[in-house]
Amino acid sequence: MNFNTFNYILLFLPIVFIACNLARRLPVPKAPQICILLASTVFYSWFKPSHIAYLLGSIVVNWQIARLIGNAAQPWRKHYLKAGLVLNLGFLCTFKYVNFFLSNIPYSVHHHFRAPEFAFPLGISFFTLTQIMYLVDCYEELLPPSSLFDHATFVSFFPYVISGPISRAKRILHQFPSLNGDVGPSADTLARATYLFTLGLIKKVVFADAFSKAADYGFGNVGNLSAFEAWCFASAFALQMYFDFSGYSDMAIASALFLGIEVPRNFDGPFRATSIIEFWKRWHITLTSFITTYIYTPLLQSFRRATLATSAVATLIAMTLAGLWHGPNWTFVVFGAIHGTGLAVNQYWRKKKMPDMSKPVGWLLTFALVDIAFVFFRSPNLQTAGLFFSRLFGWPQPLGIDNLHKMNGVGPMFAVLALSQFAGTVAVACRKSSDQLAREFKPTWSNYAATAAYALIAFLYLNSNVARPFLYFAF
Amino acid sequence: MTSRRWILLTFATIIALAGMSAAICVAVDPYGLWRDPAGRKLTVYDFERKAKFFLSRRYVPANFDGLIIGPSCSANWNVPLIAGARIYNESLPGGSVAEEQIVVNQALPKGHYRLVVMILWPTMTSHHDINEGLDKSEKVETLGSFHVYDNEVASALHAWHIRFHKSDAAPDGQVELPYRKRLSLPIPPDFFQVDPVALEDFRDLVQSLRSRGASIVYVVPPIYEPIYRLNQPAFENYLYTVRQLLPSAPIIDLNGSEYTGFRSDPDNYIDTVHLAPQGAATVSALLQKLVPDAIASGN
Repeated sequence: MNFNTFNYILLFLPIVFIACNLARRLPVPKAPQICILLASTVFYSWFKPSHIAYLLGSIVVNWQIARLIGNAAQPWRKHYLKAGLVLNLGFLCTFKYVNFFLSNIPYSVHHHFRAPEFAFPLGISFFTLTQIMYLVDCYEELLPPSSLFDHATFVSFFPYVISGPISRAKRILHQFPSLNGDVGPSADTLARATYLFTLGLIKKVVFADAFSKAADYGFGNVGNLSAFEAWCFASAFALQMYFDFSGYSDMAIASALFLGIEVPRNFDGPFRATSIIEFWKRWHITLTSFITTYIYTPLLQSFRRATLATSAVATLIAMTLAGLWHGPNWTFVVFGAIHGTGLAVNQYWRKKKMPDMSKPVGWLLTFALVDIAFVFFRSPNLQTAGLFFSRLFGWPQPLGIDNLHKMNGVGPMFAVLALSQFAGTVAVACRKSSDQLAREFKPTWSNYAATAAYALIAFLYLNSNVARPFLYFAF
Repeated sequence: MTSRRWILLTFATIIALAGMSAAICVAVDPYGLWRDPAGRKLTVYDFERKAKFFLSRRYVPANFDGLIIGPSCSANWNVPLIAGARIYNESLPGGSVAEEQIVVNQALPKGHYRLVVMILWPTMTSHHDINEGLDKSEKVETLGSFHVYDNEVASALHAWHIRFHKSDAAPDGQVELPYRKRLSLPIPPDFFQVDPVALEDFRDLVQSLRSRGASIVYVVPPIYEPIYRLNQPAFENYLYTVRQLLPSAPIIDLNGSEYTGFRSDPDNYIDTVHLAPQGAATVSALLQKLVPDAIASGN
């Protein structure tokens, strides 16, 4: 069940909300939490019921390893942690990377040893990272191992189990006592959640899906794009990604807020960044935090001295791994490597105190680099990405707008899509991020009118059957 | 205002406005889904795919007992009556048989069709793409969506004699094709490829209609003579192939030698395969005579 469906908006979320609030009145300990765990199980099973076994299996194994870490002394603690990391990475690799690795080692091996293709469980990339963080945090004694009930509720929590935000246990677990308290979330929180949910919904169904139409057209006609069109379509995909994933994150955060749980924010106006370092502080913030804490820092510490060169190497490795995390394709590896290189150059520039760029130039370079990296992210293979790349730099035709005329089709939907794309561009350029808007939310008449209008417009788009699934569901 | 009041007001407004929109859509009912459509004459102004999908649920079964199933080259044929059967033209511009199957499947549960004219044309069987989310369309869309509002507004403007664009489909499903004369339009090389999935869909559709008592007649639309001459072997090969694989039924081939005069007249065509209004009228009149004869003779 996607967040952008009537089933979720009109049935699932209201039922869970009502059930949780009724459960507070029951004389059963932790009844609201039981409700949420059940709801999360139903939500996850909705996509493919058999895959719930993978999620539950992963939860039980990690809970047991965390207990072993918590009860053991060194060096066994470290051995248990290593075993836990190997198991989690092995679990992830079995479903996502085995055939990718096999196909990239010598020819004969690939042809003789090919593992069966498993349909990977939805959200495996996310709930595996969540549990790796949990094990490391238990090892570092940042939190004690939790009960199986708490751990299962934390990992399978339906707002983020499929596509994040990637949440750390210590940030979520301490909210469970208030979740199980007699009083539910305040009216202020519920109003903020409603507002944020409609912002996320409109980002997804109005803006992301309109940009997706343009991006699909551009990437489906790479052969005859001019340079100008190539930049437009690459930007359209960047905006599609942003609205799609940040819209999803907003809806996830809002869904959790309805139940009284605060999950971390994931985006903060990334396209206003004037450097690539700033971009990653604003884009997929929870993944950036994971990369920094659990990959980049240990890598840097593994070098004898922290220098600009070792820092650049650690950045490049960490970002390339982050790219690969998105899927078993060289295009994702290149996507990560481009960002890693950009970050390393940016760090060098700052450390060497080279002259500051003006903000517009910084913004333009950042946006261009992000666009180029997204070309690799979106392309099905390196050949297509290479062709698109050549188009970006003017070969063989620098100008031309024929494809821009055709991208939205004809008829009334042309106007609807063009207007949505224009509004999306304005929203990115001028408005505060939805996170800022939600934090500054006040129950005013203007917010009332805006929320009602956003909801009705989003419902109109949803009911017109033009909505598409979330991009990050593929990872 | 307090947060509690804000929430109540916001949700009440959303529910009230959504309810009002749904009520208007039910009252106007441009697809004949929410009240008895018998005797109504529903014109479609835009989104003809969606419209024909929804019209096929109640409007077509209530008012018609014959169908034309085809792509754009039969979309502007206006054959109100053949052998006493009232005909609805289900042809979809750019449509594949996969889309036609989806649309016709809507019309089958409540309909009784005596006669179905199936157009044999390469684009019907060259792919099985589904456009405009036809396979995911749901009745709830008719309570408020772009296509419903667009048709309602166009219909209201039409009622006030403000006609800023053509209708997409007349009450009998006939579509007015854009008139852009292009008689040298070449036939692309992949035009004659046959998609096995589409062919399977075609076969299923014919069998499903026949099992419900419909008489099937295949019709091959006339192609502008100079282009037909250039591609005659390919056309004949295509017809031979699909006829081997489809259930047998009488066939009317308008590319036969007896129609050479018609096909040679450029005034009958918009382009090499789409008929101009004059040509469409001639073919429609021909069908009214030829189809009953073909059924009677069984060939």
